[in-house]
Amino acid sequence: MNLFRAVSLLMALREIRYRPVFAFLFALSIAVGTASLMALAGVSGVVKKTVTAQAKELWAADISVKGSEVVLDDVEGWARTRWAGLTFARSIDTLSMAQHRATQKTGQVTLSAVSPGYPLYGKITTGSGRPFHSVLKPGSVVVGERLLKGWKLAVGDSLKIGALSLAIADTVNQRTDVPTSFFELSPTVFMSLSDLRDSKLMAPGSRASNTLYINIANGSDLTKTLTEVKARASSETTEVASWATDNPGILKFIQRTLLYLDFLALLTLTLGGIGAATALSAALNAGVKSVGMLFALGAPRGLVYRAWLWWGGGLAVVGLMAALILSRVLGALLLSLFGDLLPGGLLPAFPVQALLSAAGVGLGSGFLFMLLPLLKLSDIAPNAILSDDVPPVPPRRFRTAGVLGVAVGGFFLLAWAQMGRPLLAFQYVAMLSGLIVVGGGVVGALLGTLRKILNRWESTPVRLAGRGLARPGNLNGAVVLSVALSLTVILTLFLLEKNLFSQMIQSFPADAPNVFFINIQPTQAEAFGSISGNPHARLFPLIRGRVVSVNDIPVQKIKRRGSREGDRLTREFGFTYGTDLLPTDTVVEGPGLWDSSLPGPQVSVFEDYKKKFGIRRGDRIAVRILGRRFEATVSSFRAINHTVRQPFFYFYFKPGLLEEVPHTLMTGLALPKDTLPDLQNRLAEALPNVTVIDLSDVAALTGRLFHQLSRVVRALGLFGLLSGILLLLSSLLASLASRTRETALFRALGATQAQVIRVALLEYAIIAGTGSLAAFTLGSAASALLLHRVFELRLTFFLFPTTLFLGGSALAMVCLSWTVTQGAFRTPPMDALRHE
Amino acid sequence: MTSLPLLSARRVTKSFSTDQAPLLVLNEISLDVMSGEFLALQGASGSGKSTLLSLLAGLDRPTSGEISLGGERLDGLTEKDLARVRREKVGFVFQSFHLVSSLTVLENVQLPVAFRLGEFTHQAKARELLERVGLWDRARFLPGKLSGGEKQRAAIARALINDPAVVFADEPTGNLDSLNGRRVLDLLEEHTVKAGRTLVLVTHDPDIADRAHRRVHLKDGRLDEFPRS
Repeated sequence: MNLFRAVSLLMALREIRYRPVFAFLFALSIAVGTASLMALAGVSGVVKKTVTAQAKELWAADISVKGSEVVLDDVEGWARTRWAGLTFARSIDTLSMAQHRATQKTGQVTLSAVSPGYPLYGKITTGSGRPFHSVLKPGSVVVGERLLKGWKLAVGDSLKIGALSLAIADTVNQRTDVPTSFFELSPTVFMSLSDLRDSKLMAPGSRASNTLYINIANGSDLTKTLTEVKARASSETTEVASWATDNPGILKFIQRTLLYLDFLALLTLTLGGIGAATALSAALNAGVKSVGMLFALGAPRGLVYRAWLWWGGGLAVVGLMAALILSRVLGALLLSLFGDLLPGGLLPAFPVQALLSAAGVGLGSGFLFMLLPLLKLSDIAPNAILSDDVPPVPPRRFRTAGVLGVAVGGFFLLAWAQMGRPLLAFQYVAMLSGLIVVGGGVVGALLGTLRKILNRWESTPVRLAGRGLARPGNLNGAVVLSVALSLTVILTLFLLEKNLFSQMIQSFPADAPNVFFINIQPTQAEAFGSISGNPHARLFPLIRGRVVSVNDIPVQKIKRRGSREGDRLTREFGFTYGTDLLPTDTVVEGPGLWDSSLPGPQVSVFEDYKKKFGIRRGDRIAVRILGRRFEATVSSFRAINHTVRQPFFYFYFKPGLLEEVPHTLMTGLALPKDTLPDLQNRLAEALPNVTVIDLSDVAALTGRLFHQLSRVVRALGLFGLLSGILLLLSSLLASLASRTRETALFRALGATQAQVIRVALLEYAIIAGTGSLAAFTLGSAASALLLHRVFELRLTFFLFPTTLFLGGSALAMVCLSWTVTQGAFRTPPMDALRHE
Repeated sequence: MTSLPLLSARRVTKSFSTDQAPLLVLNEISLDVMSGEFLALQGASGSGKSTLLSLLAGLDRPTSGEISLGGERLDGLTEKDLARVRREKVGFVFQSFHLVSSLTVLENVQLPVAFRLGEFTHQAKARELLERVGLWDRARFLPGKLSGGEKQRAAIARALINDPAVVFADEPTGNLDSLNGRRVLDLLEEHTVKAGRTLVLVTHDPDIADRAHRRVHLKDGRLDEFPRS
């Protein structure tokens, strides 16, 4: 090690030793900022690793094909002749009603009718321990524990499903074919495929998911087989997938959720970075005379820069080590907060590569945030040692803007490296920058207005507190912004949760349907009206099918505009037909619902699809339903008001095209909750194929999902708040010397201890109050925007809990500020005011 | 007939606890300062000048001994009463000016009144003082915009706003060039001694000390009085 390097290292160590508080705050800011990123990377990695390790079991086969029964029969028949040694299984999954024979209790169940051999990989373990298929025989069912507990049933009891009475033969203890039971709307019931056919539950057009499972022979080429199966099944836009090439839906869901959470982690990283930069600035300010002395003694600037780089780099590494521990704690917390949303049997260790990558991003970000404070070193003149009265260096706007540009660009590259998606990384960095600019604007406006108001006040504590906001060395703007941003995240989430719960889950418009009935056969329309007591209820034809092409361009080639996430044109749709406008709809383009100038069949389309997929009026849309192709011209676009809570359809066909296609009917009714069990019983007796969906069950599941996710977000938000608190500490400590001097001066000029304390507390209250007020402004705006854009709801302020939360946070900030700075009020005045 | 001293210290001792033995800074100091007197306090760095100043001004309490200001014993007063004494009877001028950087020059001058009355009032009086020190045109400026000499003149105006009986000045010209130093000292004398107030001034500069009515020298915690040369 050469002398230059050794001296700079010694200088860095000396700075750390003599000013350990700033070093501690710097390292901790890096640690907190990086830990959430590492925790999310760890959780994402561990879920991916687990799901990958269990991929075969989760898919239950080498290849799965979803589509209509006709196509599956064709693919199976073709595959049997094409390859030898294949194994097959089938399943049909649907929501249905079941009735306990003895108690006449009726309820919804998630029915899985499976052929012998299912699952081809993994297994379903029964409560008794007997092999699944030795138990699941025609005439019997194997049910989820939830059904036994919820309905108070016992093995041996009889369930009426469709036209059959089936005995409960056993319970499901564990199954490897679904990663989590979280999304299960109702208890699972396994039955044999042959029983399903005999139950008369299924008719052409019934809402069900048909799957064919294929295992290839040992030594066969899976990729090649998969390609051929896809080619065979492509005519029906059937979904063909394999454990080797596709991720299960749950992994996509978790990864997408974690990707959204990455925004919060980047926010925390930013706040941590600002905190680290503040701690470095404070350390530099405190050490300005030492630096000046070195320059006065002829030390080259490179030596000083190097010393501070050692300081920052060394402490950043310490911070990363702390982040490793913190990320384990936060990661474990996140895993427990995700709870049963995640697949069971998660692997215990976080992937090292994911952690290292996140740590690298944290280190890079720490370096970027060090740039601006380090540049100030060049502003320190050798005469800093001689006087306190060195004139300030004029701001160098171009240099600052240049460094900020480099920092933002570098941060984008780091975000890209972390998320692997440049567009999303760009959006996140742009959103973060926007949030900081808008938040900074709000905070600046609030502080500026307050300063103007308080400056006119004659009261001594008020005027001094107002002026104290501009105390040299403090970073009130940055502190208020950081605290405001982290409180905004928590408040936005709170308001979203409360509004969604109160407006969508708890309260229901009295006349809005709360129960939906699906799988009604057209021949059962009259009977359904009579049994339900609603003979005039509007029954909507429901035809399940897929869009094949627009103007002969296959939908697979039509790219979605804007964000890559979201609705797809290739998915299965529920089509309907009719003459008049649906209760949810308003025509926003076109002469009316139908256009008399257009020849042939017509279809009215959801207006969003115009923007998302570039569909225009007059375009020809081809759909395929149960193997048959239909084509219609787009006559109009409709806006759909989802708050009306009536059945809605994205593709609404003019009568004359789809009447002959096998379909079912559906409707929604507003029913008193206490009449539902009786109606379910009567329907189970007379129309057993009709499935009843109680929206309160769906709402409860949605509420549980939102609640579970909001706990995760809240935990990350609190980590962001911790970064804000560290920044507050850095700022308070950075301005502690000037506060101590000011306090001593006030006392020398005749202020009592109580007056001085009153000024300080008022100043802290203004900072904390402004932070809370800014959080309220930003949080309300963000919540109102999200509620309006995503959920079409209006924001309701929950003033009491909101005030309690923000007031409590402000009070905690005041207490913390007081605790950190109370030494300033105890220092003997002359000690603080003496020149040396 | 002998008049009573305005400021009186009797057998004042001040010691500080340290890691080793207690550090005795002032050792049984006795001192009288008469009303309208200009006293120069001299001594080497670390001799205890500022400590003595802070005891005389009621900013700190002696370890033992008695201190009186205007006939009122300071050593037995509560913190609140000491603050009252500082507001009503004492003015301060510091070497490093100690103007509050976030307040305008005018507000800095008003500050002692603001602590006495709880409001930023007496603007007319502050204006008068700023005019007397030649700074009224800088009244709305922040201290950062002033030169060192201007800052110290503002500090003098601030020290006088409550009509104190005694002004304590700790090296008031220490941060100024000789021209500005002389001007500041002239102003200080004009508005204190020549106006009938007492001035206690800490200085290293023998020329400045020579302008005082009386000079005392602190050494090893004890006070020596110099006859006027």
